[in-house]
Amino acid sequence: MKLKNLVLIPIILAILAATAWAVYKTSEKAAPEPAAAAQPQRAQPENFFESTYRERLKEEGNRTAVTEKMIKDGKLSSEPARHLKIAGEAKP
Amino acid sequence: MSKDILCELCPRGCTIKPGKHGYCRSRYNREGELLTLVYGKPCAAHIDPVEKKPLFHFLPSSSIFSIATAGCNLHCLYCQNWDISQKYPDEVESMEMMPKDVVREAEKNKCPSIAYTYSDPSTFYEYALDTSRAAHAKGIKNVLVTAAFLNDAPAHEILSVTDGASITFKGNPEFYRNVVGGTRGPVERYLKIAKKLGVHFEIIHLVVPTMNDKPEQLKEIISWVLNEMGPDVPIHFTRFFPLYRLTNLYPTPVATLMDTARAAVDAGLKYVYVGNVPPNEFENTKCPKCKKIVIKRSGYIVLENNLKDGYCRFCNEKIPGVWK
Repeated sequence: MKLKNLVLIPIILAILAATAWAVYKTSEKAAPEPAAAAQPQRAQPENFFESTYRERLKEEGNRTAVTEKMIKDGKLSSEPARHLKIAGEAKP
Repeated sequence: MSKDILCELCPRGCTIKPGKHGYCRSRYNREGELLTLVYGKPCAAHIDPVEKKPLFHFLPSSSIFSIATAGCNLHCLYCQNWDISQKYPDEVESMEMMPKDVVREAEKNKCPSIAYTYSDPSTFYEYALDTSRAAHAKGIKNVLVTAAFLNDAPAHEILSVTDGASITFKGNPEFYRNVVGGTRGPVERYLKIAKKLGVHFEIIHLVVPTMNDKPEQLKEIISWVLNEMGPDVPIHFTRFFPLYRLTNLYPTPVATLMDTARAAVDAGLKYVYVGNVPPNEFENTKCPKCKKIVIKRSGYIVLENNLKDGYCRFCNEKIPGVWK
């Protein structure tokens, strides 16, 4: 066997081992832990409800026109609500 | 001058800017005036058996005219009516039915009571209140089916024209925070107001697997009800089915419900029921004195009624409830 081949074999083996190791680590990250996968869905994060409301408010710009039109058409009520304060009168 | 409005109806206390809706989606700030968009606009109107609410100590086997509108001030991740409760009023089909029309429909259909239900009457507070007043004027009773997340003043106001209530008491404070999107304190106060006003109410506790089904959590609910509400308040432990955002959970094991009901009876609660489960030993009303069945049921159907003017026919023990 030529000297050149003797040098190349360990290098190729090292590259193959490194590749196999990288593939194994990647697959380990992608697949959930069996125990975690079997867990039932836990409660949403504490701020889930407030954050979804904030998200909704951001999108309400488009809804205002729809609401106004539906009030005008009588499809939504314009009855005054009770139990409220104008913000200036509100407690901090 | 600011046109922002602080809504004081529920403990959420939304500050609503012009052109925006409150958390409940049904209250809208129109240039500094707060409107309830759902007044006289129910998206559901049905006739149900009163047992479906569930109310087991309220005019048994009667029909109840039931209405609801879009929106809700809570966001239960297991909501069975999420397709109306988590929608804006403009997203659902609604009909025109003012308070007097609701009362007329109830009369026409021979319903002795009206239920404000499906979503939550807190969301259509003014509509439910005015309809309740109109109903009382015609001798028709009112029933709230509610999560009771309301401030004290409006709670007082609406409960003063209420004859029966099915009130959900959902779990410990952590459950309210993480699964319901609310807090438990206001619900406790609402229950105490209902008790103080002498309104007949029944407590509903949905047992959700992995969320509020630990024995110590259920024991805490039983203790709270027993200590604060007393042994006479009927309590229903109901079965969860996977819905809305909790579709990956399994239905509540029947054994969990039966064990919980037995624990409640052992603790001293007199009227304990298990709901959403096919015929079971906890669907009948038993006299706490002579132990005989005073109301025998199969699901929503009353098979036998051994009450006479609210008293056990066998031993004359008074059974709490609204019976006529």
